[in-house]
Amino acid sequence: MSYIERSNELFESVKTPYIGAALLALVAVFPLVANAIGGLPFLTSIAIEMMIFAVFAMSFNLLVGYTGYVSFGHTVFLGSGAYMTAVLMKKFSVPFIAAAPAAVIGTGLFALVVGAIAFRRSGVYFAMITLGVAQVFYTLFQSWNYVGGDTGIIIDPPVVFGYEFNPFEPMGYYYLALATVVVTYLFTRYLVRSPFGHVLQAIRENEERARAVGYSVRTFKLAAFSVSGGLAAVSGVLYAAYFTQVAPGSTLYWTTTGDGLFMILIGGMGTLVGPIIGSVFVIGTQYALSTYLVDFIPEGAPALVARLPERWPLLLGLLFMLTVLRFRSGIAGGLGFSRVRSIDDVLTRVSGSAETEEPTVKSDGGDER
Amino acid sequence: MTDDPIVRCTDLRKEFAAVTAVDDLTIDIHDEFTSVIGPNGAGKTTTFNLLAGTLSPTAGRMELNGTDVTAKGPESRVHHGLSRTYQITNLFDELPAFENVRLAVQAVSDVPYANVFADALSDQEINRRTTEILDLVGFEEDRTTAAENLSQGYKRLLEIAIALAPEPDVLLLDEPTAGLAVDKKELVFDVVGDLADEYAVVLIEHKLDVVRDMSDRLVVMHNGQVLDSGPPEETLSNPEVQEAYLRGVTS
Repeated sequence: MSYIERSNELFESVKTPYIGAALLALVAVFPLVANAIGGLPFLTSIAIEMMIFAVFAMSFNLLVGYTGYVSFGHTVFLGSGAYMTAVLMKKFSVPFIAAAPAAVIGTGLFALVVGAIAFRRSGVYFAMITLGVAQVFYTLFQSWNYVGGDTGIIIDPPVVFGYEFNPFEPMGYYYLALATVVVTYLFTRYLVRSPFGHVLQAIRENEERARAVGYSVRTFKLAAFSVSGGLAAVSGVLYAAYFTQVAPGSTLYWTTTGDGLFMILIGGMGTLVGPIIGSVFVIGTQYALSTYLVDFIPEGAPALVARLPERWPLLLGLLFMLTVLRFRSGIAGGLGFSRVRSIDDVLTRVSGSAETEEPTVKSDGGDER
Repeated sequence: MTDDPIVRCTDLRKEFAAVTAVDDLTIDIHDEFTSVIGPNGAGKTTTFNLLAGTLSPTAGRMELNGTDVTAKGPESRVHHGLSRTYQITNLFDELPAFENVRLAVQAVSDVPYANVFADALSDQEINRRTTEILDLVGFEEDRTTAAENLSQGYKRLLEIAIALAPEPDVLLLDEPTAGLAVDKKELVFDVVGDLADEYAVVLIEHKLDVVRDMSDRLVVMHNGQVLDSGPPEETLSNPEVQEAYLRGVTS
């Protein structure tokens, strides 16, 4: 191995963590910068929304991108997490700090039940069963007075260890959401690299063969569905805490599932960073088009152009088509992140221990999945 | 107790709607090289699917190493000592060749799935075993190549490597040379011949001339039934077999 190859490899191995740390530092100081330029509440609230949906998309990606099952009802778990938090806080006066884990575990169990039904079929039938379940809960909660019907439940902002979260001074929410994104990212990263995560990818690649080599695929799929649902509930808990109103239209309706799918596909399905990129991209573009595009429309433009800012979904749709056509694994794929984990390192170690004890440069670079 | 069969099928039957694909199959598989031959549509692959548990039988019973596995799926039969390959390559397409085999090794290991903080690729015992199996089948291609990007010949070798991972007592090979060029066929048959020394191999094959010399025993199937079974010379001299098989092949 030449000196250049070696230093390249060394660079690869340190590149990803450093870029990640630099990005994280930028994100951490963002509210301070936003505050300085006077855009604090607005920009920060957009960032919080991005982070809530980043968690949702990461949870969904475990199922869609890693296990290979497309659900059309994933929002039911966001809704479940949000409603459980709201009901526990509002109706039973449970403090947020206790309601949050209860909502996540409760939703994980709920997902186990939904999974047991939905996994009786695969492909489009699986998708339709999950859609059906979500729509049943949407309709049920719309007409159920106990949970506030269409209006939903309005809760007070949470108080944690004496700290009062305030939607109008969203700094506290911002760092809560940021910490949740980081923890969720690390958790999914460990999960997909564990023996369990590798089995999920075997199921995604070829379920029949995964069974034939000895995996009880049904158990693995159920576990994945439950974990994915529980993680979606984490985003639901954040949603309830931040928006302080949990209504069926925003948490249980199928379009929220659609948004999540959209984020995964545009960001990079089956990659770890894809859902985060997708959420930032989709929500960012949404706000940019609906808020700032109007400034760029010249006076007296034809009606078709003049009305583009209010027709922003059209532009987003075009961007989506271009991204998906151009990059197989979304934006993350375009940036060089792969769906498949690199095994170079393993092979070097195996052959290294069998043959010569040549010192090998440990390379973590590029094995982002 | 070497006389006990590894697989014992009793009146195994599979019906698809009005068609009986396998009709009352009664067969014992011992630790020897068995080849299943017969014309297209004779029920060879259905028999394999019944043995592997991919299909569940309409009637009958199957024992594997003395355990009744009739109602058990393929994931359970692997753990009872039976493993198979597929006629049409059936791999983890996007994953590296190494990972394809590693997954199969992991499936029969006792890794703690609940520990999500363990790294699947850092289990050196599994990695070492994976490397051994790939070496055993002579997999000389780059092992980081995605399965879908391998040549046909290496795909077939990978199929066999995956099936070997659980160290089965009986190895079912479904036309392992299907779709290969002549020189590659020989390469794969060399591997199969080597395996036959260590495992009870059951081979489905179209080409009679190839299996005649390799097999200890032939099972000739026709219209879902076993026409005859026994040592190759005996079976092939059976006029019934000659008629059915030759007619099937030439038509």
